[in-house]
Amino acid sequence: MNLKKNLGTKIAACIASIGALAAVWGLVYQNPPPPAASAQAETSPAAATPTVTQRKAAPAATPVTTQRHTRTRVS
Amino acid sequence: MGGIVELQIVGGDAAAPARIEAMFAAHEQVLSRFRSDSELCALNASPATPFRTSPLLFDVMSEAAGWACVTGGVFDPTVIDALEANGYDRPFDRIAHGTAVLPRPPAAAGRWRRIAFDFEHETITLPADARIDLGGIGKGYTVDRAIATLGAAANAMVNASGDLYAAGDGPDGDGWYVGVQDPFSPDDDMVVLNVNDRGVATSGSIKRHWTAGDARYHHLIDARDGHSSSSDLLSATVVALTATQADVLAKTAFLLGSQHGLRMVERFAGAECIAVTAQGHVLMTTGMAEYFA
Repeated sequence: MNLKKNLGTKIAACIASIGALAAVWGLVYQNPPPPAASAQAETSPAAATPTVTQRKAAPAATPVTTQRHTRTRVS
Repeated sequence: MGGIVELQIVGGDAAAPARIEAMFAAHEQVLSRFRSDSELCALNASPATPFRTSPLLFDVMSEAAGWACVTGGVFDPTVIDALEANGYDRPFDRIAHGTAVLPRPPAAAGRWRRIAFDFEHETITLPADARIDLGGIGKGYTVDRAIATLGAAANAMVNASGDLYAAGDGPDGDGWYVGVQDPFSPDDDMVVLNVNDRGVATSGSIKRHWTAGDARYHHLIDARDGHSSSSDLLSATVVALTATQADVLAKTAFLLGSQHGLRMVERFAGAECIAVTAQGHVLMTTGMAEYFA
């Protein structure tokens, strides 16, 4: 086997492989993991718009201020 | 209008509260179906005849007809006979549980299309088989008019039993904070909104309901069949550009239910909705969370 044959091409392929590995490492370790399934919003089966959230998820996801000037309610 | 009106004004003139209180009284005298001497009752007593109205009644009627058109008749001011047949023939606090319920009138959806407006002479001609209830729009409309009297730079909030408009930046300069009633725990808020220059209204079946025999009735009528709506929602709260728009869209969203109601609201620029189903799910349009405090 002639190791010197096409040496430039082999070096370039090696560098490309190292770069690809670095990219994969970056994707795996530099991004946060996805949230647990229980914390995710449940998407409407009808797709295409309204966000549907489990009732108990809304207050947890939304810091509710204790300040309130007025109130809307069923009348 | 069957409830308490709350007014908060930051700065402004001292005469405004009395002026707004008088406005609400005047609007009720014109728009109420429970006052036998109201202008609306006079209109209802004159079907199939051109009825010359006050500018106020003409304006509210044309708004109501416009919303009926825009919502495809889901919002319908002519369902009064169904309301009465279901027992809502007197102010709500006088309806007794076990009240007699009459046989249902035949469904006659779309009668609002036959209301004739003469803009030149300010007359309205009702179809012979239609009477009007403005309960679905009167409070929001009056809230908007009340705010308008305070001027474009007003920093104020008018709340008529939950239908409100918050103008300006609020008492602390960071907007108005509006609690949204939790239908499962009516004394608590399920979320607090932070709004300015927006109307907010909530509609639902948890308050104005009554029973007859084994059946449960409420005041939100499905115009398609004349029955109390069987919506899968318990409440729908809408933030919109005006209190009138919020008032109408909250009712319409409730009537259309979870599958179609929120999508309908999203078609209106500046309108967002949060709704709660009977199963306890909270549904929101895509921009609603931006109003969360």
